[in-house]
Amino acid sequence: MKKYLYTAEQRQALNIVWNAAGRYDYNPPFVAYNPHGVPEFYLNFVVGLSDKWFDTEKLFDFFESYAGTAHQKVFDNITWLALENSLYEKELPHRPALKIMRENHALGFFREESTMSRQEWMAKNNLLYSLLSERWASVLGRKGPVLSPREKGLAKRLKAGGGLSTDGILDLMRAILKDYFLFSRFKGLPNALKFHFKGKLADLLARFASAEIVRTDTLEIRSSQGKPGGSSSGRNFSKRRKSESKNEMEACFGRSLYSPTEQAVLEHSLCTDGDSGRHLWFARGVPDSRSAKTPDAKAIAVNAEKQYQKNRSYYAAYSGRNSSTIRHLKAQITGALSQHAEPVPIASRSGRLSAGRVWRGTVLHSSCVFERRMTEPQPDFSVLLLLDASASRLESQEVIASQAYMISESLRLCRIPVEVDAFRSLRGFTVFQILKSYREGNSLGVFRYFSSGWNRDGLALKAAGVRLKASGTGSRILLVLTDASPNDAEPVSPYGNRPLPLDYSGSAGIEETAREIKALRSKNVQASAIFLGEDSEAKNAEKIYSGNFVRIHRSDEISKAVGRLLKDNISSLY
Amino acid sequence: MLDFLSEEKVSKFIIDGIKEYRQKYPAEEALNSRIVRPRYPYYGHEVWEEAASAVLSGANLLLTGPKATGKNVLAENLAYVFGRPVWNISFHINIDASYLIGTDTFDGEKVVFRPGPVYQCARCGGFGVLDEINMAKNEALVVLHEILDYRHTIDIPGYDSIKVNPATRFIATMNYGYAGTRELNEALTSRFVVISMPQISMENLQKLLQHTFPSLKKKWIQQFALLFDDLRRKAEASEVSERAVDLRGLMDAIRLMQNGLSAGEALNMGITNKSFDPYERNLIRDVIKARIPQNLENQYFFE
Repeated sequence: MKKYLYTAEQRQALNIVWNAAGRYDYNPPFVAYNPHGVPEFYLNFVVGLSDKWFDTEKLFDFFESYAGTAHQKVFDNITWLALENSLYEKELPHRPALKIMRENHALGFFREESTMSRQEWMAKNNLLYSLLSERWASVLGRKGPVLSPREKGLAKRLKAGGGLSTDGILDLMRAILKDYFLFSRFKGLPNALKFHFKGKLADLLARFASAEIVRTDTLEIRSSQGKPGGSSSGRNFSKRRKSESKNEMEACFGRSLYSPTEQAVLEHSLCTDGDSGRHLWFARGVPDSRSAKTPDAKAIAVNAEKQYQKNRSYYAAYSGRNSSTIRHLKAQITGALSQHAEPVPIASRSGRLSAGRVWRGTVLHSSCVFERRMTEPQPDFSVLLLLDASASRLESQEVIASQAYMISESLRLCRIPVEVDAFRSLRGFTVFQILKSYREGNSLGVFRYFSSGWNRDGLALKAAGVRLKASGTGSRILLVLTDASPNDAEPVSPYGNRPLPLDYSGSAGIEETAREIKALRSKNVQASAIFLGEDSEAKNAEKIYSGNFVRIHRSDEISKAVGRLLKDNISSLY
Repeated sequence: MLDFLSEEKVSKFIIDGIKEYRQKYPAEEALNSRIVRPRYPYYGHEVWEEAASAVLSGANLLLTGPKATGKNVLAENLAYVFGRPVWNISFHINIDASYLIGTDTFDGEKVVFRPGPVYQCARCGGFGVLDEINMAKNEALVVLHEILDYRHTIDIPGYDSIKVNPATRFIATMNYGYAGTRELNEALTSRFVVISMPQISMENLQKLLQHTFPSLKKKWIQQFALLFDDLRRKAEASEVSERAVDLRGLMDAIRLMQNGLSAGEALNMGITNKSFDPYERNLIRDVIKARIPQNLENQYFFE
């Protein structure tokens, strides 16, 4: 599944394009930035107008017809020069502001020119730059650069009229490329032979013009740099499961949060029925790689540290947009809370006399014998965000960490106690990693999320019950980020009317998990899920969470989905 | 105002009905201060016909719809067209029965009843505009049930039960799913007839702008209307929040421009700055820039 995520600048550029196109499902082939990486307003607008006035499919085909050739960049830019003029003439009668937008762009072009160094000047001494300079000078009514008769002819032909149809302008461009660049092979080259404009070469080419229209292939950003099995120990680790040694767990995941006696009591009460013989390990996280005691522990620690850095950098790369998401989510939660805020009597030195506090005046000489009614939301519930950290999430670790951080921060800012935990199963242990506890004053620990191993969802939910109790609030909400596909190397132990062990996958795993969700709900826990799985697994989510889940198709939709889920959950608490 | 309805092509039958109603229920002179000519006319003949028919048939109206669909404008227009005094009651989370109906108060040496807006409106035969009715808790709204249904009475504990004046109508507005709103209970909803308010059309928006700003040049009337449409599309595509779709803000901005402020500054104050998110503000500014030149003075826009 491809995941499209955008930085704030990319999103802004797309918004300008969409605004001009008049539709928001348009996937433009180009976006434009100025040399400082800021979206170039007018050129992006022109890109959008091309969709409004021309047949987009035909334009796409034209751009594709020379893609990969050595002159692709120049061809792209001169084609846009021709399109710009034609689109300007078409749109101007409908949009008087376009004239000023165009002039501002032209002024910006020359402003940029005046700040260029000698080296930059030398790099720009080429045909494309002269054509751009001539175009923007003519827009401002200034004298343009000195052009050769051939260049003059080309500049004139690029001033395509507003009366041209898509076919008309494409015919014109084919003729120009043929006449001036001796190019007539308009079918595109086989992929293997294509000359890709990427990396440093693309940067060099980007210096041709002061504002550059670039193909949007750079907008597709992989959600994770981690390759399956590459960034952490993965499933191979859990296959070597002979020894169920607690020492090994401690070496790999740090000391247990509970004493050996508490641990034994917990396992005795939770590792029952289908989970009997399994173990639980509650830990704060992976120890430092320098203090790792075993090779496995060192490998895990090194990978966890790398992943921590990747998670932080990924979040930082989209920090503008992420801060915006936190604000929106916070507003959504505050809105939901304020709907249910009851006036609460607060002891005060003035207000209505409180009969129950009068004695304090005479006995304690306290003046705090009045009460005022405040309607400020004072949530008496907590949220536990439970993240599936099995190897199936390897592809989207950074995205999950970022989204979990945003959810956690939004809740924390609304003064709702929140804990973020990750779970995975290895060597018969279900490891419950507390990334951010209820008491912590920030959510940075969430970036310690990494994925490995299997997911024994049923046992993880039993463990979540223990952590939910720790919140000390009146009501509790559990949100599980899951693919609704429980899968563990250790089987479901025989119990009840099951004389034989069953694989912890498929219907057996689903049944076990659904049972635990029911058990949690019977204890007044609002349990719901954010489902990230495939179509085929949607039925599993339905069975486990009985409809109380939100399906998302892209990991970057998590926070929106959580907003909706929280709103519903908060409403049902009151 | 009845001429306006004719211009809006409201059926003659309905206009005659309104005339009859006004003759039957002439307004008391003492309440003239509450009969206010609305600042903006409501454009849209279908909604006019639906709403006026409902009022004529004695029904209470519930106007639902998103922001900037003219719910309150229509309510004010209706009251004025029918020549009735208006009580505007803004609902909020802490509204309760005593706020709506009335409460006891101390007057010199005795406890007396101080009537609330719903009581006054019902007694005087006014039009009560229950603004954002779904902001209040359903428990608080139960007191409205007997006023709104066939009983048409208000029973005040400890005092008398009064009969609602037959000219009285209640017009509630709500924006479903708006921040801070809740589901309206069925019992209350069943006491209203509901009009789902459509988005203002481009044609009607241009008419509204022309009516409000007669000196605004025609080509800019069109551009401001298109700007509003651009912002609405952006909000529908969830690229910006609903804050940007602010017709009141747009009108305020044009008014500021009329008074000499540059377009950029006026639109920042009227629309852009209503978003407190810097990223969203950039997106809104880009939309505005593509329709309205920022630094031009008012003679460029006004005749």
